[in-house]
Parts: sequence; C-alpha cells; structure tokens
Amino acid sequence: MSAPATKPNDTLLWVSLIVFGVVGLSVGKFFRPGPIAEAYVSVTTEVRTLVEEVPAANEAAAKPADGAAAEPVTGSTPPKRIWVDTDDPAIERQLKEGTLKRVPDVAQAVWDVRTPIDNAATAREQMASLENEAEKLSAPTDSTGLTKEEFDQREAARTAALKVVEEKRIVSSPRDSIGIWVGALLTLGILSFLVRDNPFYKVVESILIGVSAAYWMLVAFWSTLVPDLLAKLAPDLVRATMLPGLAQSEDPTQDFLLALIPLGLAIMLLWRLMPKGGWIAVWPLAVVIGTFAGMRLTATIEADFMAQIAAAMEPMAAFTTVPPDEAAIAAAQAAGTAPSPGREFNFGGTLAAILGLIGVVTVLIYFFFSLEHKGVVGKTARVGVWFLMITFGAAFGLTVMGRMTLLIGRFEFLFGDWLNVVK
Amino acid sequence: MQQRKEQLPPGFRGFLVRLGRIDRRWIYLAVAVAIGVPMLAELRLPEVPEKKARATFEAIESIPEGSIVLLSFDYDPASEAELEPMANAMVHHCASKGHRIVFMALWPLGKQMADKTIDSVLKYYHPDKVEGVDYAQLGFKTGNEGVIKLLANSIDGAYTTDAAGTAISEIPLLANVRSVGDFKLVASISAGYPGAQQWVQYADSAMPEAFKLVGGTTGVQSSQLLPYFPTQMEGMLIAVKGAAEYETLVTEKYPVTESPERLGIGRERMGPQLVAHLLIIALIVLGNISMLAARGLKGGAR
Repeated sequence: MSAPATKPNDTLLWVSLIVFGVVGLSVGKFFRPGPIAEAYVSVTTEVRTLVEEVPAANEAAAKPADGAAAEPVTGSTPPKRIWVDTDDPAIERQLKEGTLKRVPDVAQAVWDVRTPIDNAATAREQMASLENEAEKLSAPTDSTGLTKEEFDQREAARTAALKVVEEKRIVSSPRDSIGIWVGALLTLGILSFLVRDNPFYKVVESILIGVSAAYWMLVAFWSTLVPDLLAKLAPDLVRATMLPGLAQSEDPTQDFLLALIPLGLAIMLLWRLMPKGGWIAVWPLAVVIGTFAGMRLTATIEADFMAQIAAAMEPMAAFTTVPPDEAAIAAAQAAGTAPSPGREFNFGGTLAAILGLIGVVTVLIYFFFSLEHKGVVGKTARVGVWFLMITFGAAFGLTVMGRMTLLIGRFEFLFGDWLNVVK
Repeated sequence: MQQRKEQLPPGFRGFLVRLGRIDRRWIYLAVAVAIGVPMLAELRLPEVPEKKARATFEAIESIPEGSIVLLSFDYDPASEAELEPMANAMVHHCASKGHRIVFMALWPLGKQMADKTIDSVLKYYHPDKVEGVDYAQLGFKTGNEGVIKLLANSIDGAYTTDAAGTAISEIPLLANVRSVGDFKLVASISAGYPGAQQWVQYADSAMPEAFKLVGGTTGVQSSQLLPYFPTQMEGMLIAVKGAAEYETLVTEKYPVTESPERLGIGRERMGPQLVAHLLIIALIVLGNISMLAARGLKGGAR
C-alpha cells in the first residue's frame, strides 16, 4: 500500500494551468488568427408550392390515403398535401402526368434552409469559393463563334447557374455561437471537477442529469407509449393528433384487447407509489424478469456457450490457402483440369491456436475449485492467472484508449469550435 | 505531514519515492498537455490496417452492389468521439459501393447520431441518394434486445413507422424486407448494452447464415466482443484505432476530394492518442519504480 499523497500545491497548479492555457491559446492564435466561437450556416432560399396527390380512380375508391402531415384532418381523409420545389424535374414530371396538382388559392412559400457548417475555416473556404463562382458567372457569355441559338442557350445556363449560386449564402450565426459558448462552459464545468469539487461542477452536473432524465421521459413517451400503447387503444385519435403516418391495423379490436395487458401491467407497476398494496407491483416485475430470463437463457446458451465451444475447436496446425504454384498450374494444364489452390503452413495461426488451447485449459482449471490448487493443478492454475492478467491488461489498455479519445473529442471541441485554434 | 517527510530517504531514492506521492492533478495537467500539444501541432500518423479492420472492409465489399444493409447506431454523445469516425466511414463505404442503407438505433440518442452522419456524410458526399429509396431512417425503438428479437421475426413487428412517421409499408426500400434475415449485412456501432453483443446473441444466433454481422465498438467494450470475431462477427472495429485503420481502407478505395477531413476524424485523433499513451506508459513505469523505491519505508509500499 502506498503512502498518502503530499499536500497539494494549489497555487503552483493554478499558475501552471493558466500558463498552459495562455501559452497554448497565444501560439494557436498566432498561427490561426480569428475570432473565437465563430459559427456559420449555409442558407439556401427555397420557394415551395403546396401540391396534393391525385389518387388513381380505383385506389381512391378502394384505399383512403393517409392523413397529410401538413393538414391533420377529421372525418373523411383528404389527399396528401406536401410543399414541393416545382423546379425539381421529378415534381415537374408528376405535375405534368397529373399525379400531383397545385392546391389553388395557396400562395407560394419562401423560406431559408439553414445548414450548420462544420467549422469556421470550412465556412470561409466555402464563402470564397461561392464568391469566385459568382464572379465567374457574372461575366456575360463570349458570343465569338456562336450562333444566336447557342449563345442564348449558354446565357440561359449561365443565368440559371448564377441564380443557384446567389440563392446560397453563408452567414455567421449568433445563435450557434451562443450554443458553442454554452457547450464550452458546460465542458469546463465538468472538467473543473479534476481540480476539486466545486459549485460550478455541481450546477453543470445537475443540468446534465436533469436534461437526460427529461429527454429519456420524452423519448419513452414518443417511442413506446404512443406507438405501442395509445396507438392500439385509440388509433384514430393518435393518427389525427400525433402520428399521421400510422398504418391502418388489420384487426383493431384484437390490437385494443392485447394492449389492455401492458396497460394493466403498467398500472400495477405504478401501484407501488400508492400508500397501500405495494405487493401488486411485484407481479408485473415478475413478468418482466421472467420474460428476460427466458430470452437471455436461450440466447446466451446459443451465442456464448455452444458457438464459443465450436469456435474454440480449431485445428492445432493452421494452414493458409495460397494461389497454385507454377508446377501445380502446369500439372493441371497437362491433366486438363483447373489448378487447385495450394496450402501454406501458417506459423502465426498455429501459435495462436496453441496459445488459445493453453489459455482455455489453464483458465478453466483456475476456476475449478473442486480440486485444491496445489501441485500440478496449482501450477496450471498459476499459468491461468497469467492469461487472466494479460487479458485484464489488454482490457485496461483499451479502456485507456477509449477514455483518451473522449478527452480528445472534448479538446477538439474546445480548441476547434470554441477557441478556433485548430481546424 | 512533517512526520511523513522525515521518513523519506535522502537523494535520488527520496526523489523517486516523492514521485509516487505526487498530487494526481499534476498528472491530469500532463495528460492535458500530452493531448493538447499534438492537437495544436496537428500531428498525423500513417495507419496500417490490421486484420479486423480489413475483415470489416471485406465484409462490406463482398456483398453484391445494391444490397440492403442495416446500420444500428447503438451509441450516444458520450461515446461519439470514439464511434463517429467509424460510423462516417462505414456510411460512405456502403453508399460508395452502391448499397442501400437502413438506419436504426437501440439507444435513445442513436437516432440523432445517425442523423448527424446522414447529414455530414450521406447527403454531403452522395447527394443523389434518395430517402425512402436508397436509405431509410427508422429511428430509435425502446426495448433493447427485445427489438432485435422482434426484427428477427418481422420488421413491422418492431417498427410501425419510420422516424419521420411514414408507414413502413409505404417505404419502397423496405418493400421486400420482411425480417432482419432479408438484409445482406448488419452493422452495430455500439457503445455497450444494448449493442453488438445483443446483435450476436439475438440476431446472428437465430439465423447465422442469413446475413453478415460486423461491429464497431468502444475500447472498453471490445474485450467482451473479441471472442465473437471472426466466427460470429465477420468484422470488428475497435475504438478510434480501428476507425482510423478502416478510414484508411475506405478512403484509399473511395477517395473524396471535397472536405476529406470528415472521413479522417479517426486518423486525426490518433496523433494525440499516441502521445497520451506514451505518457501513460511512462507514468506506469515511474509508478512502479517509485513503489519499489518506497519498499521497506514506514508508510510506503511493502
């Protein structure tokens, strides 16, 4: 057992932290000048038109279309309505074919689609590229040697390309910059625990737990309660209010009756919150545990027991298949048959198979407690301990790699997105 | 405290003993420097792909072009740094090879992780891919291994709609997909439970010949999954190292010209990783030397 640590020298530690931070930031900013927490978005202006699907006559009679996402309905189901870009060739074709039609008396909608850009450097590169492209396209087409028709065609193509470029803009996004600041402060708050427990860390920890719990609750509601319970109990209501794409059930009555079972079990589970009758909650727990025990038992026996035993039964001498050599090819040609591939002794594979066998046997003996670990058994078990130690060492190394990567990920965020000193 | 100081032997041995009693925060600072400096210096290292990364690459290469593959994003932001690089490379690989991709998640935030990869890789490098035809996003489904068990029987038993609320029956990509057995390949990019291990136990065991199973895992989880390779899992990517090797293979065969850094995150992270590992090894060695130096001292190692 090692002796306790000496008294921490807080002043020296803080000075070192500050020096490291300031030097790192200064060096980084020297090589990469620019503001911090700089965020950009790519903005594309889109003009959309509301169209509706025109169901084929027989389909319209036989199968009602699903409720449109944009227009929840009650009563009879209207055709599906969607906002589309009418310049899109596929949409243009559908409009011509009559499978889609414009909804009358609805004005076109113009909106900006904002796509975040990975980092400020990429944004600046894209801005420069857009500017160059716009400048290039702004120059009128050289008419030398062109017929009027060719000139008009090229001019139309140029104008269309210029319109596309002009519709795309890259602008700074204060909202995203604030997000980066919040993320950076929360990250520093968590990392501050390494210095010592402090109120800043406590606040950030509480935010993390609170947000996670709220998120889990919402996810459970929307991914389980709505589609698996409410949608079975009241499908029409769910379709009209929550899940417009919910498919029609073939047997809604059966779904309803079956959904009463989990509903009953859920109510019984929550009964433990009542002052009396807590034992009622034990029954649904028994169902959950019994179900999972049954599922896991078969899965574990198949995947972790039988399959692993089969995988361990490898030939001790490993061979690798190699392309046929010249002699084999010549012999096969003489015999008029296809040359068969050759086999080459695989030293690494053989060694791995032998080590695998020794490892399996010795580790199993180590865990075999019916015999006292003395003499040959004790020595074999000792070898098994070495195999276990090597396994734990490898696992530790991989854990270190994982934890370091997580720290690298956070540092990338702090140095890249926030401080803008690395790309 | 004073009493402990008096126990320390003078000279170099005393220095070694004191080294073992250093305030752990100095080690944190050293780790921060070991990661920060190579990051600022943009240290990059060449990656030589090894067996598991090659096997993963070959598994995806060997299935016919246009196959439908299932990518399960079984991780959340806590493991994003380790798993996002391999997810990006895998999506680019599948799309470049012409496979059609179905995304799903067994973790609540896995759907958001998949969305991020769809935006930054699939839509960016493969803008011709159409949702519903070339790819589909089923989203998260609660139920852990129960979801896999349901998928082994029928897709619509687990998912009634995709993540956007479109009925499964209306997604052209899934028209001929009845169960998980109709996929040519399943890949679980997993940070723990439920994840790759459950895919082996509940899907691969149920239909071992139906599809190829590959997994991308965190370093912590990988020792649990190694026994499954290569018999039950045909390919395996272990942590950021596996991701970096796989990125190398993918970008060698399917290079990108614009913003290649999106498919090089794993390789970028291996520079700081190397320096941090060297530091950890040095600290382990120094710790052991210090422990040996403290042997026999009162209050020291025995």
